[in-house]
Amino acid sequence: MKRPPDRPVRPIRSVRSVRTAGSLVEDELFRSIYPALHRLAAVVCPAERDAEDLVQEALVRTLRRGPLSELDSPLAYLRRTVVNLAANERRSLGRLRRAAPRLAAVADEGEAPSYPSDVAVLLQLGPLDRAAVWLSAVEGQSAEHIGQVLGCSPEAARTRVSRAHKRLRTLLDEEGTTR
Amino acid sequence: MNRLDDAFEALIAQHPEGDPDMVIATARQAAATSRARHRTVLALASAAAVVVVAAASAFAVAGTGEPASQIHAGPGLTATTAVTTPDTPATKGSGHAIASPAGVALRSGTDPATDLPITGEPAVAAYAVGTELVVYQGADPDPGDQAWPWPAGDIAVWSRHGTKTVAIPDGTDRAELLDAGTVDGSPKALVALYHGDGFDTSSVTLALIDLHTLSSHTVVDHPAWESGYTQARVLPDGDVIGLLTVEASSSLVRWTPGRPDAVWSTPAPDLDRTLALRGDRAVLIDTQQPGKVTTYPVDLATGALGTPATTPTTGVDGDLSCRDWYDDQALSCARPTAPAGTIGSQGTWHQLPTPDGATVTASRD
Repeated sequence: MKRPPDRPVRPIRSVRSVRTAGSLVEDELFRSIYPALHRLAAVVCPAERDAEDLVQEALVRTLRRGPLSELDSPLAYLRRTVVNLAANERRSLGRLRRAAPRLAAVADEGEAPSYPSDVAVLLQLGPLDRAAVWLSAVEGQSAEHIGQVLGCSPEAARTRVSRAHKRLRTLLDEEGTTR
Repeated sequence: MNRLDDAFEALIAQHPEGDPDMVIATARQAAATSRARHRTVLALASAAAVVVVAAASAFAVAGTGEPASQIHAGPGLTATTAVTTPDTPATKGSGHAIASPAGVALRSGTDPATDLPITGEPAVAAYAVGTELVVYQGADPDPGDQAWPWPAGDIAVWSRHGTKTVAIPDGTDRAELLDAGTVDGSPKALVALYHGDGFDTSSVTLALIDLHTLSSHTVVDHPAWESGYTQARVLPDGDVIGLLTVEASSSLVRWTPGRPDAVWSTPAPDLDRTLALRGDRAVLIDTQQPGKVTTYPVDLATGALGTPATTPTTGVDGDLSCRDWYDDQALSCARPTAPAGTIGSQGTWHQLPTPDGATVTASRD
């Protein structure tokens, strides 16, 4: 099921009219990193939120401190900000989540998004764990890179990845036995 | 494609990609609006601070009955100029680092909307030096039944160029981030390095770590059997003052890097005091008595403790740990299971928008 749009309509024309040469370069840079950034945002995004909002918020916070071109690794920096925002977002939604123990088991099918069972299992992992599994198992990133995105050392990243995989296996096993 | 890949692709499919040009254009506009709003807030806050400082100073003299000479003026008490230019960096103390079980964030001013997330890993301490450098240490993610988290894991330095981990020397059993500051123009972190666990073999080293080069410089090294630093602060000249606990007693000690003997050592009233330093204004703090906070001014030249001032607190109860100045007037205090807050000169509690268990430190310049 496609998620309903939950973002307000944003003005486009007025802000596009003020582009400068520097901003055109920045636009190009952002265009090149956007797909990878968006995919990670979709992976770590709380179920109640839209990945595009996470990307937007991360970009606003980054641009507030200077242009993207000043960053050594804009993609890594933005990905890290996205992951941290998702982790914070999840905590603030914690109370709401506790009211609905498992997203897959939400009773009102008419209002809540429905997910394939494996997706529901993924959503039971925290954003940091989901990012760890995604970066390691799907993207095949190094511990150094994963640490950079998660904001920890490579050693801590290895531990996080190992624990996240273990949690995922446990959840999949549980899901398999209850099906 | 395996089952895991399929699950992730199904998850990603729930979030269709947007138009990157639209995303960056809108973000650029929002960032510009936010910067303009922040500058306005800073200007208003600076102007308001003049009024508050005048009132607070009057209260301090009249309320405690202390001679004016015993009241340690903070470095910002005479600042009256509002921020007027777009490129002026944040004024001293206007930025804060927030460490909590939810991670670390760098906040400009007081608005949580300005928070820049640094890490989502639990953190026990974080210090911003200026506006673009943050040093922090992880917290034990599973503190058990302890009220306050225990330092665990790496000490990391964040900047816009990435995050670097501070290399801990071989043989170190435990490292603890204690403070950060600017010494001779360079940003430094103050850490305690604990070695060994025997009566004859255990020792603690206080070291300053350059946050650009990560090189370390020993301040002092001494035996640490059943002893250690509960807190320490670095002064602008590179000296360090620390609350050193040895068995059942506690002392406030000032060290100069490379000198084996302390500059001075003063017995602290008891073990449960905390220490806050801002510029040349240092106080020992007692929050153990419910409903009141007692501060002891510390003369940094001699270590002498001034007359304690006790102020009833309003609006807060339970465990408090006040380990930093939030700004020129108020102490920054943490609570183990509630958001952090400040206690002003009149004892009024002001809760800050932070996660539970957060520790808020004012940015060091």
